[in-house]
Amino acid sequence: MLMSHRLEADSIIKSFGGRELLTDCWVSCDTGEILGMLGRNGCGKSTLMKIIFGTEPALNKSIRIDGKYYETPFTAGNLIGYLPQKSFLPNNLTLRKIADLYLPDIKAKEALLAHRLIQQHMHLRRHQLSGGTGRFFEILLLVHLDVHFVLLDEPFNGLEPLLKEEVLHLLQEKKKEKGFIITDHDFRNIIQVSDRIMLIDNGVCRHIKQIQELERFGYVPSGIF
Amino acid sequence: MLFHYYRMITALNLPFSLAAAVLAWLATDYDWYIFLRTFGTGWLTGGFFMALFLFQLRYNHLYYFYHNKGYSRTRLIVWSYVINVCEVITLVYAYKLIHAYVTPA
Repeated sequence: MLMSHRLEADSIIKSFGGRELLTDCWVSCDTGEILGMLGRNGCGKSTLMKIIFGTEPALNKSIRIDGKYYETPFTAGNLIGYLPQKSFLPNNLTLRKIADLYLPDIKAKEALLAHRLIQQHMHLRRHQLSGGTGRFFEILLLVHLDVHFVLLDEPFNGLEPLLKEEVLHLLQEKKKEKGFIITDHDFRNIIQVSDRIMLIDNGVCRHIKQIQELERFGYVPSGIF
Repeated sequence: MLFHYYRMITALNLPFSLAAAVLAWLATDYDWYIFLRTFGTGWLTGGFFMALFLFQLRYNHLYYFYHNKGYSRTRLIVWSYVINVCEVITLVYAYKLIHAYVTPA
């Protein structure tokens, strides 16, 4: 049986130009769980992810994994991965080379290389792929990374419906060994794949118990559910 | 991963340091010692910082490529700088060695 891990982030306070973007946010995620994070444009979803990952400073924060405090969790090794909104892969390496660098575990690398869509593009570079295929490769890379938690920032952006479906399956499969925090404006897919939903609204993290609450907080038009 | 970052920074540093060294070489009647000194200085100061600035400007999002493998920005920069220092030291010693053999006593 796989060992379970717990990510906790609380007391997060972040300001931008005098405006308080995040005020006392609290987030938790266990391995075996997908936490969906929703919120309107500019509400601080990406910022919160970067704070949890450790690349964005905050006025106050406490990030703990298995009860241990980390100032920058990403530097601690094998704990956390982050898929940013923009492509993060260099254009001067082929997909095969990137897989070699990223996945020292042979099984993980083979699983990635065996994917029917990626297999035929292994000799290409990121900029030679279509936007959707490139994004899909980045998602595959992150979910196969040897870490306990993966933060996915708008993973469905630019993906065709079939690939979105494949990502949903992949997340369900991989959540047996990892914890995922995922944010996207494609709220239907987020709701479908997530075990828990959190809404960032006016700088506060609201943990959603019933999906209709999203209407009440004005995130979606009323009557949509 | 660290070497990949180093290569990216070097590709941006080289044109600046080389251009400064060539200008100094031309201005001092083809003095190779001045060429080397200017190149070394540029490699460790202006050229290096210019390369970091350009990387930040053009490839800022690529830092996540390294972050996901646990490398912080500071570690990447320090690592690249240390390699540069080692290269300049090697270059100076090589120059002195060659100079000692070539220059008649």
